[in-house]
Amino acid sequence: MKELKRQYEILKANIINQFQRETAFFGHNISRTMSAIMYNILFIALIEILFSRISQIASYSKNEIYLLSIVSEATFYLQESITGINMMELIHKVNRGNFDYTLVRPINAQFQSGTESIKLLQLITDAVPVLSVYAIFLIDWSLLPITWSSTAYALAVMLILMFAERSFMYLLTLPVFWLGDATEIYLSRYIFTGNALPFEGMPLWFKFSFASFVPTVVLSAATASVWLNKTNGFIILILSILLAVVFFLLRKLVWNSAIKNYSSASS
Amino acid sequence: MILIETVKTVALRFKHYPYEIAIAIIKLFASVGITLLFWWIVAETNSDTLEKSYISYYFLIAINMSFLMFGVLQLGKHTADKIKQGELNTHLIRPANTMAMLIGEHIGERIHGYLINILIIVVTATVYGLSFGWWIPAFLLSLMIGLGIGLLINILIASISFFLTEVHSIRMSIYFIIKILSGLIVPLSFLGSSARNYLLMTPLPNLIHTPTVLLLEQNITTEIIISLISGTLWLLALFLLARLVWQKGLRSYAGVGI
Repeated sequence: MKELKRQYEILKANIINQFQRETAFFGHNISRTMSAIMYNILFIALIEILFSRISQIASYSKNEIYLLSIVSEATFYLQESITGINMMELIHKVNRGNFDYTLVRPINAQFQSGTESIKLLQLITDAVPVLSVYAIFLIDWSLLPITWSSTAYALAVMLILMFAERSFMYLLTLPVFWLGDATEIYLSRYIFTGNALPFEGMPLWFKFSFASFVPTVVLSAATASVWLNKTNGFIILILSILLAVVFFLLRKLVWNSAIKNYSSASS
Repeated sequence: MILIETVKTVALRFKHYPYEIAIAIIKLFASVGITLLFWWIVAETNSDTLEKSYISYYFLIAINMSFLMFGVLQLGKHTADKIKQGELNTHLIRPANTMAMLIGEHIGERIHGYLINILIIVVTATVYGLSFGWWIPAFLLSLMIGLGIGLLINILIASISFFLTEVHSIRMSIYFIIKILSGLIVPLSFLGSSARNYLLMTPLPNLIHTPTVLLLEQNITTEIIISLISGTLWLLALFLLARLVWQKGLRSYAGVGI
């Protein structure tokens, strides 16, 4: 209980500190928002061009593809603001030997590394304008087969798979302790983000092999599928919990091994 | 000469970081795989509109072509970083062409990836089936135009950092525009003919659409001729613009950065 309270205090201090850093260069936030809007304008153009020639993608109408997109964007911005920057900073710290400063403090090193840079302002400035456009102008909610229970299942699946993805992001980052740099390995995650692959269109072998190693691939697809009542929410929830537990244990194992391997100087 | 020597020197770093080559290859195949999977799903449910094999060949070539032509505009990014941090000094004080050194470093860092891209394009085109004809010189011309336009866009992005402190968002916005209007995300044949004709007047289809279509269709159509002519004119215009902005930027550059 005492440890939890302590972690809460650290988390609060980190968020406030990061907020001050983010507001120091406010112009950067505006230009980043513009970039996010530009990306989404082009993505919407792609969907519009595609659907001018076709009627559906793996049983998903244009409206449903926009729902998949809003889930994909929401999970991307959430994960990026909470975990993404922390992972890049961890790589830089280990690479330059600055990780020593984290280790010498009387706090949980993994907790500190994973919460030092939570960008709440970035989440607001990037995600809110983009998600609002999808929610207000593009999606016709009355045509979607969503229910209260499917919404609850989808929310649970999304949060659990995001937790699994966070562990996966750690696993992509931790090779820095052995190799000295893991930037390229970590950046490979972006290949799988922001795609519009419908869960129903993925071949079975893909879902149960490749996707099991990369939670990023199924995160938004499975969430949207459950939300749209296209898949059994309960089964996906159980599979998501299993995936999250496996990735969490793997992350713990690799983290402990990485710390033992750290030589307290620039790797 | 400086360009080739710089490429050779920088390429040697892979002896120290061999795993980077492995990661670059895995990333390339994953990137191609995800795009192909998406289009296979689209083609499977719309077989009357889309031919799965053609779309696969198209994207195998287009994605690899994009790495050669513009990548993620890394040359622009790295040069912009050097300008911002004042590191351009290390190039300016040398009695050699600064731009040649910067381009050489960039190619040297990615030479292994580029060789893989070229190999995949050649293998894909060979499997698809190649025939001799006038399309070959037209393809080589389109390749040179595309490489030139890609390079000049990178130089223009880098030059912006002489005047602004933040170019990341501008670079990413330009990158997204290039991705969609060059035919990398969706083949331009999906557009209506009037929209496509307007687009062919811009430099962007020369980066992906024109060389890829030439390689696959092996036929010089009116659209290809329009694209090659407008591409050549754009190449000239961009060259003059990039030269002007770069030189103007250099004059405003102080030894400690901007």
